[in-house]
Amino acid sequence: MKITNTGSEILRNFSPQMEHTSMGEKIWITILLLTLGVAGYAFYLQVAYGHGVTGMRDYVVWGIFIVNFMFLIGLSYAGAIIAGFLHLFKAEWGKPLIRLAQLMTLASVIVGPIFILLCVGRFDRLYHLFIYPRLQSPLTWDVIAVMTFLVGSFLFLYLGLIRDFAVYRDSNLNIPKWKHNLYRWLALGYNGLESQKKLLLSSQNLMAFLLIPISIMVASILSWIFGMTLRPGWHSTIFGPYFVLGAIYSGTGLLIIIAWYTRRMYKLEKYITPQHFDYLGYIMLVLAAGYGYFTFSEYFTSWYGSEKWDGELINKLFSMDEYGWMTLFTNVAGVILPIIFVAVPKLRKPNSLFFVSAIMVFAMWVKRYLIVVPTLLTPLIPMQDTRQEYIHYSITWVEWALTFGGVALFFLIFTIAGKFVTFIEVAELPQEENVKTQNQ
Amino acid sequence: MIMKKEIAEAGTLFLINRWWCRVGFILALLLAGLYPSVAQDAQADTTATPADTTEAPAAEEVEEETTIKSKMSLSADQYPDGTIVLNGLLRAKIEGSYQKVPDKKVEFFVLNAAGEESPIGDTLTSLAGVARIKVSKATLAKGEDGSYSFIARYAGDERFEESESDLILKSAMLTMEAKEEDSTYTLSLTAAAETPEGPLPIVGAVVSVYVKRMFSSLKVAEGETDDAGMVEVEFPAGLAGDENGNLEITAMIEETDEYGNLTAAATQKWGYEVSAEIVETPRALWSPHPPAWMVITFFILMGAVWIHYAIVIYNLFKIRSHGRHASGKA
Repeated sequence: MKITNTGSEILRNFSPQMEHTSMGEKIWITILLLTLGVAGYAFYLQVAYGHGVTGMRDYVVWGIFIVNFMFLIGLSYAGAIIAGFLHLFKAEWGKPLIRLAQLMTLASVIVGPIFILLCVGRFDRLYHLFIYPRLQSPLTWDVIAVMTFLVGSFLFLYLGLIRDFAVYRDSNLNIPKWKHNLYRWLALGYNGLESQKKLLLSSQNLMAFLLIPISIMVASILSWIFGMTLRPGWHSTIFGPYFVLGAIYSGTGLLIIIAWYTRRMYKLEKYITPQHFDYLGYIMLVLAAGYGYFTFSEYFTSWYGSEKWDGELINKLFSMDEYGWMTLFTNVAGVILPIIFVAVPKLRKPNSLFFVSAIMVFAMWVKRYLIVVPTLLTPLIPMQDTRQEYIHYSITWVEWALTFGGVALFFLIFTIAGKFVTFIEVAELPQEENVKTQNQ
Repeated sequence: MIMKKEIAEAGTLFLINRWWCRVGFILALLLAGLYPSVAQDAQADTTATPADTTEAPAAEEVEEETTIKSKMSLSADQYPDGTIVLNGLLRAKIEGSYQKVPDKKVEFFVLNAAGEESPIGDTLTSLAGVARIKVSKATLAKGEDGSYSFIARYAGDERFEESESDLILKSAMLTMEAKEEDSTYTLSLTAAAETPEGPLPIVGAVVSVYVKRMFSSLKVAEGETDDAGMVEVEFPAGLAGDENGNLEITAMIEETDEYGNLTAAATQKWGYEVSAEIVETPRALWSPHPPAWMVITFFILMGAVWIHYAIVIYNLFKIRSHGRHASGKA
């Protein structure tokens, strides 16, 4: 299997982690597993004692579980769309980012749906969702769409890995025999034959072409879970594009974070350059402006209409005694700061873009919280003579433990993936000038 | 209903929702492995919530408390068939307000002219905290003035204090006669006290007429008794009945000091027939059958995507096949 000098150099950079597990990695994995253990215990409490151990009650029946689901699923759509466009447009500069985006997609789409399952009060009836689906329900659409997307994103990632598996198979990596056999099996006998190249490329093109509309549709379906209900703050015609844009926007931010981390961790400054951050920054700027416009349009329309329940919700969102500070934070940190950091050339550096992306991604999580919780606290017909605790939502440690468990699982998937594959494609890179042959 | 144990659990939840308790909890979990005991403590009832627990006492404090004060309220319904239904409502003072207490034994007694108690029977309180027992007037001892004196008593247990309530009831009766003239439905209602001297009209009592609906009763008419203890009320037409058009009608004089509740009931074929037969619903968003266009669109979209997935998977097999051919394995 032929490989460029660039490819072999990248493989050398990644080979230590593929061949061995360092003490630092072991500690890191232990921390992740411990976090998952605490989350597992929290899950046990939830199953054994019911949703009473969470902060969810009569009004807020969807808490941060659904917030996490929206956030992570959004990230996965973003990764698919970014990877799909970079592949279809044959953007040479973007090749080092494609696999990162694909891995981000896969990790998010595995972890995200777990949170929707945590919202299910009766696990023993979970299979009803599949044997008694109601086709008119956006929830049914979402279940089907997410599963379809999961399969598609896995296929897209695998197609991009086949050439690399062939390289790993034919390389001199000091890996155990089982791992070598695994690469041999996963490489599907790929030897770079013209017919194989053609089949692989056409399949990749097909998947890239499919995943872009699928991602847009699935993100829209997620928004329709909210948009199809007649609730203030949810029943909005722009919710579909609003969610799509928000997903790509937060996904771009996370891609910057992952690219920055990978660049530093594996000394990939030569391949993931400041130019990559510039380009991702430009994408982020455009998306931030678009997201800001949608947010303004959404709030302004609701406020100007002065409709009773919409007005009540807007008052909650902008009152400093309720959600005002969170609203301010999401708009400043989630929209204005990224625009400033990208627009000002002196600030447009990898480190500062990493910093502002981290803040923006967190702000986008808070934004999802603001979409879900305040609306649930603004019912059309309030309950009468009820206890105050039924109409307030406070996140319990069980919910936090499960949330951090989800984050730990996300990182664990990335960490495990790093033990098997390189985060940058080694088989086909832009600099093809020095081709050499590696034989086992 | 909130029991003492549940208050203790609410207190535990209060502790759980403090950040320093969470940190301590996680550390304890990791270091000491106190899974079973912690699991027990973390049990929570949906009636006791985190926000709620800010006012709740800690578990240890509750353990030191004495029994909870209970309160019994006795009421009665008199029927024309000469029966009385006694209702003993048991409540307990929890967190400053009275909550209904289910599954507790309540004993009922009647007093004779000498003031001696004779047991009537006992029963457990329902989820609504009500213990209900039906007795025939013919079997009951009367007081000197011909009235009945009842006592409902809860003996108490390790959680709740004992409590009792008494009720003096004069015997009375509400009768109902249904009339139908020229498609107009009328109910003739007569209320009379039963005295040794014979029936005595109850004057000026408000009689309410209800029809049983799916979940509760619907008030459809009201009237006030005249000097003869009688009132005629018009019954509305056009109500939905069962599959035969039957309506369950109840007339009541409610919560009088002397007679309790006086009730009369009858079933009349005054409603229109509502069939319980399930008719097939059309294809619509609201029905169990989705619209045809939605089904077709769904299968076209899903089919298009999954067929392409199948093509990609087929290509993967072809890639493997080509590799095998090239290496001479096939």
